Amino acid sequence: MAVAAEQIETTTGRDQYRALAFRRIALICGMLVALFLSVSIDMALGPANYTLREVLTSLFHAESVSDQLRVVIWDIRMPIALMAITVGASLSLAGAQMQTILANPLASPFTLGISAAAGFGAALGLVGGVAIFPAAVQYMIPINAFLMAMAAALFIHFASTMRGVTVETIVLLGIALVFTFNALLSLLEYLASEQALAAVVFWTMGSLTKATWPKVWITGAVLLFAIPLFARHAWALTALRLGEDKAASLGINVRRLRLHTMMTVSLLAAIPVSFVGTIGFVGLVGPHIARMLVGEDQRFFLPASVLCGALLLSTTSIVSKTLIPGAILPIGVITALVGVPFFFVLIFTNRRRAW
Amino acid sequence: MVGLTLKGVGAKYGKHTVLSDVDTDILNGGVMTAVIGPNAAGKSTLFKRIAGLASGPGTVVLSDTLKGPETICYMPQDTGANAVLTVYESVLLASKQGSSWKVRDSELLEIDRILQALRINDLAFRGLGELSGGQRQLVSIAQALVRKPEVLLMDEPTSALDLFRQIEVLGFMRKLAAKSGMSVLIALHDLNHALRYCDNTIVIAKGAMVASGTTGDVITEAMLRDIYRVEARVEMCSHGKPVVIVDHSII
Repeated sequence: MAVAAEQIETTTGRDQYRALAFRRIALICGMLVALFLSVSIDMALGPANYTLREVLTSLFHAESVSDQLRVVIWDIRMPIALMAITVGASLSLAGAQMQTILANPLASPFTLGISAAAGFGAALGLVGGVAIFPAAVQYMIPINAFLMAMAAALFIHFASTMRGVTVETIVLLGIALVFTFNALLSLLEYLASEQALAAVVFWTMGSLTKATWPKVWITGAVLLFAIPLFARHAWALTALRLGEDKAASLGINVRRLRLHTMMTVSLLAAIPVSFVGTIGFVGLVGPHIARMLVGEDQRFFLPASVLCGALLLSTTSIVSKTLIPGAILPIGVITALVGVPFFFVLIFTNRRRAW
Repeated sequence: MVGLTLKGVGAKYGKHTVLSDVDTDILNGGVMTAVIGPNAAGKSTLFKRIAGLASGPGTVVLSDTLKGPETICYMPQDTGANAVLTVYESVLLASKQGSSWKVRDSELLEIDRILQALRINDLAFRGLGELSGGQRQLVSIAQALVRKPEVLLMDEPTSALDLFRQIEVLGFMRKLAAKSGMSVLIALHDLNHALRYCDNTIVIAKGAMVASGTTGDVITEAMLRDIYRVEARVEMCSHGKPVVIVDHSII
């Protein structure tokens, strides 16, 4: 009898853990289904509205739909819809790993000045015609934005490795970067012609309408490159959240892990921003929503962050098309308006500690 | 059973020497060795140096070959980091470093066994952020034990525990060390715990080793006066065991 009781007790933790893992996998699968639906609805909406059935038929039996429908779905709307999910996923994943390696809930490409740096880089091209990388003048705007974003990300990283620099200092440095680049951007805007000023303002609001297939492929490729890298270090990245000393005591080379992660995160954050402009909210809140839903075991947190970001931006894309009929509002503006209420609901209904 | 000997061990942070000249006779596997000394004496640094997490002069000589590269396990003082993980997940991830995503039943059963041995299985699915300081220390011990170390370096593992838990944990660790042959070095502030549970003691003060040997030989009234600046007596209690009785501090 005693043996039987002991047996039951020893299996309790294991069974509970298996059930918890199963619930999380089910949640991630549910998010995948929601994302597919969201992308389909996103493609159905536009100046000419289509039914969900028409969109799905066009996706899976392209030969059985009209040429017009096929062109609209595949050549016009799909790049935008896929850009929404790749950009959302990239920014959210970048934010998730920034928060992990800097042990700071406020870390994101936006709050650490990476987006502001990209905005300044783009404005340099739009206002002054300055190409930081003169060999590719035709891609001046995204390349300027990318190089400035990378410079800001690397500055943050190397500052974080200096002796005596705390995670709080890093966030303060990031805020200083935001103010610096915003001030420089304002200066450029002040000096800009009316036409250039309009272009800068539009760029900094963020827009998916600039999406093209090559941009989707590049953003998607960087995302597909980053995910396995993070996945390989899933246990180590999770352990980093137990504190630097604890992680080191578990045999993790914390310095190297931070460096590799920050380099990858820099790419993840810089590429989407250089293509679609400043989208601030996803990189900060996407990871927090994922954390509330599945915790911080990176085996679940990583896919959940990707899906949360993708879902958030895809939903935002739908709202940006439907809020004012006939107009597509800038996605950077709508993201916060869609995300904040949802985030509030999660904060106030979530009983578990979220950070 | 792995024993270790420290030969001229020191540690540096940059150009700054924070620990020097720690020499010991062999610290045998199967027993506990206390590392004592005032605050900021260099106890944690010594542990980091032995674990390979800090660099410096001298050598740590092992009496036998370790089974794996990570079987010297350092359990740091709790930093209070609040990961959104359950206790169970935090112990699992300690055991899974460097291995695949797949979690085997045997690994989960081992976690169950350790949580039960430490009597914290009721906390298994509580979040780390919901735990008290003492509970977090018990979880840290579980995270260390799940890695099956051959040399375990515990940095003040009982500082936040209540008296009952302190005695329970130290008694458990002593038995475990004897049973498994593990070498346990444990930083302690309570010298009565050192006298009761540890065979050997190393005294560290101002970044240097000032005494090393069997606990009864090391914890003396002279040492307490010189190192801890207290007037104290080491007397036998009614059970015939030595206890430290502090009279007053020396100003």
